Amino acid sequence: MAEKFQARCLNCRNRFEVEKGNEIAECHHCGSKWRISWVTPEQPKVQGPA
Amino acid sequence: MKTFVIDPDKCTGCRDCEMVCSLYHEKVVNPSRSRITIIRDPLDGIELPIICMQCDEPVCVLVCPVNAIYENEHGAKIIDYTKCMGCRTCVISCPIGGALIDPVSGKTIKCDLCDGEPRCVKFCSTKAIEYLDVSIANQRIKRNTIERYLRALKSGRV
Amino acid sequence: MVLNRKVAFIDLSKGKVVTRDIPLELRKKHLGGRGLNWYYIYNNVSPDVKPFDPENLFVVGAGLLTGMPMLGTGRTQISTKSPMTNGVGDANMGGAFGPEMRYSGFDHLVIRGRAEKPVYLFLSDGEVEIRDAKHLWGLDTHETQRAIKEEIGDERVESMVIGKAGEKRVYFANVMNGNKNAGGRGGTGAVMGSKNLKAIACRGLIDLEVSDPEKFMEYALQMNEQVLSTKWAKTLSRLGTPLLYDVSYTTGFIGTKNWQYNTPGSEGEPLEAENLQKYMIKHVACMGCSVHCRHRVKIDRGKYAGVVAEGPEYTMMGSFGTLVGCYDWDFVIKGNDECNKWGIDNLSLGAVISWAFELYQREILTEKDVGFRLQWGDQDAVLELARMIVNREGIGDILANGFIEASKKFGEGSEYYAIHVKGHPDLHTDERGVPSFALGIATSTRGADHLRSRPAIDLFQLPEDFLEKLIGYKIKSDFTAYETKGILVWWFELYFNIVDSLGVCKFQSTFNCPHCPQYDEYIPLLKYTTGMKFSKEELMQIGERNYTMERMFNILNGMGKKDDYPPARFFEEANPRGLPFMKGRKLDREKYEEMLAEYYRQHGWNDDGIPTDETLSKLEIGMPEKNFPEVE
Ligand code: SF4
Ligand SMILES: [Zn+2]
Repeated sequence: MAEKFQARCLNCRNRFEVEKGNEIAECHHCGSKWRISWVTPEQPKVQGPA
Repeated sequence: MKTFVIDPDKCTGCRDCEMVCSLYHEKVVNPSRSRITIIRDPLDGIELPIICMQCDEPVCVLVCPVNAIYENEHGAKIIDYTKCMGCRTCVISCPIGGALIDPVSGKTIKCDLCDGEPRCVKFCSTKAIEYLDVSIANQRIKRNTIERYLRALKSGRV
Repeated sequence: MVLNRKVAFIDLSKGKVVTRDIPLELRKKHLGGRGLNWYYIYNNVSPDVKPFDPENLFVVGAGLLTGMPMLGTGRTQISTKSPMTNGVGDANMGGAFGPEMRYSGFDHLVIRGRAEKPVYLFLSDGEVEIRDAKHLWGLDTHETQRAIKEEIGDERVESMVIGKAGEKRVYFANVMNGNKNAGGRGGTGAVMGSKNLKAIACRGLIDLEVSDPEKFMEYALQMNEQVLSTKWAKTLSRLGTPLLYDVSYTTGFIGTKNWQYNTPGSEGEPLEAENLQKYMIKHVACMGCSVHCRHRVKIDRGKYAGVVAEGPEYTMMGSFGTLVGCYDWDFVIKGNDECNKWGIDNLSLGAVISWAFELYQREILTEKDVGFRLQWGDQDAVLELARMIVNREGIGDILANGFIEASKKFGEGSEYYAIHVKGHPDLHTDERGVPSFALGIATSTRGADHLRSRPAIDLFQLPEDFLEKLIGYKIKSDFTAYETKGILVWWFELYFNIVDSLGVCKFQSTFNCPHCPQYDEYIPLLKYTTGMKFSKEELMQIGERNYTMERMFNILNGMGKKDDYPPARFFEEANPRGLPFMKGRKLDREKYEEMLAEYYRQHGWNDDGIPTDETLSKLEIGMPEKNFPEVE
């Protein structure tokens, strides 16, 4: 199991999980798809729409 | 044995180190009275920490005409003010600028490692200055160098 | 003692200086920084004084905690009657000037008059010297600082200076320290220029005594760690304020092609924050800051190759980015560097330029008026128009006088497209989808602005019980709501006033992150540094007093409820783009009125937004009483 970290969804503003190192992720609350950048190896953040 | 590891690339020029150094030693905030100095020019893009490295064979100890500088249990070279006559010989001879003159008290001052827990290191949020066991220090210095190289490579600058 | 700093009253017309202690009484009522600055201006600048009159005051202040190793206390407050608004002109600058001013013995400089010839001030060890600045006039802000350092012969001299824009009295000229630290807003640089004051330099060796060094050191470290542990600070440390771009362009609250659109959409992708990283040399910080939100950058190739600069901030990503339809980091970096050297508020400049572009699109301005075409995305046209404004050439001379005067000149409904409040241009955020943000820019005493009360955390939709604990009132979590948002804005107005009066960095306050230090942490900090004891209620009362004083200054200068509205466009045109919850949103007039009324009530102001007698007497604010000492 890959490690998971949380990012805030810009659409529903809930926190959703991103697998370590992934550059694309989907918010499991609202289904929005985001491109992800990593502030630190443990802190993902939405960079823009996928 | 411990030593300072300084990485100027990580120094942001915030001078928390200078402020806290003067606060610890003189009980006042006054960066000009700090034992650590950041040579800084934001227009030319320079931030360079300068501090006494507590040399193995310290010139200051050798040249002091009244033998005022001794080594304490942490390896810090300490000025004994009952002996120091303020001749500045150490200030002039130190090749790395480790000894300096407090512009307010007029005393010769230098880093004393804060009793083994340098306050500058505690306050340095980017780890531009660290105080490490020498075996770790060796690795850290190499790592800093490699990281610098990798960054340059990534930015296409080498 | 920290408190043992002086105020210097400087009369440039007479070339005389008087220094005074700052009474403890005043500290208890206003703290320092922004609070005390406005105490001096409120009492000494009467409504008949015009911004460029010698009688206007130019006041510089250090916060009560400025120059300490925590929370980004490198800050300086610069205040004056603004040429843009004819009311509160106020700017807060990072860097290292404020601390050095304190070490030189001064917390406040109250400057009036006009020097016959260009001068600069040099403060050191409790003395103020007025020096000739003929040889500095005409130099850019970087050259000026270098020349002063060389002249004084001390690398540690800090100066705050004006550039071309300030000399030319461009209404939105600013004051600069270091490479990029700007006292950006309110047109403070223009007033400095009007006084023939090119620079203020300082260098000091006077101890800042701290009342409990041991406890202070321990607590300061804890404060820094508290900030650094937040996700917000980690992101800011890496990306700087450009991090905001990713949120605003994705969501849709970033002014685009003036404010015709609320995001460029995928066209804006090149400006995503992460793309700035490849220009980066290193991170730099203000004095006393462990976050380091600034990038030092270099452009390696292309048209602008060789530019080495600090910044740019989010503001510039609008000004030379989305607002003018340019989506190129090279250009944003280049433009930012030029603005810093010119000494001009890049935020206001961008708003004025993009306005001109829209007027051109609508044929209110023509090629004949400008001298060339203003087509969206044309970098050269943007830069050239900027240069003309700074130098007051051609149409630039009109635009340099800001929105109110320029729109009178242009007529033809041009005012509608000017996005400002009280004559003060707005940041390129688009507030029409977020009522609390809209109220904040509308009621801000310095005119449209994001740093006077913006409850940025409103966007996070935090749980209501959490909000109630933070604010002390029931606040709606829904950021599209109007109800309770008057109270939220009120709370942040007071709070940001305290932040500015203490001289700590807003990025390390409860601005973008609810877990950063606030009142509860400031209380021990104040105790360990000054020995003064305050309760949270007392601090809030000081915030209310300081804020109301600024409000009263505006009221005495003819402002009132009519000036408390966001730009008309935000009521008329709905957001054309953005995420589903943002698209189609605009402000509702009726609900806005209710929110404004709630806000007035919360402050203790009447229905017209004028502080009631009861409120004034509770806050011990009287009518202005001149107290600038005799300087013969
Ligand atoms: S966070 Fe940025 S603006 Fe604030 S003190 Fe640090 S470097 Fe300066
Ligand atoms: Zn979602």
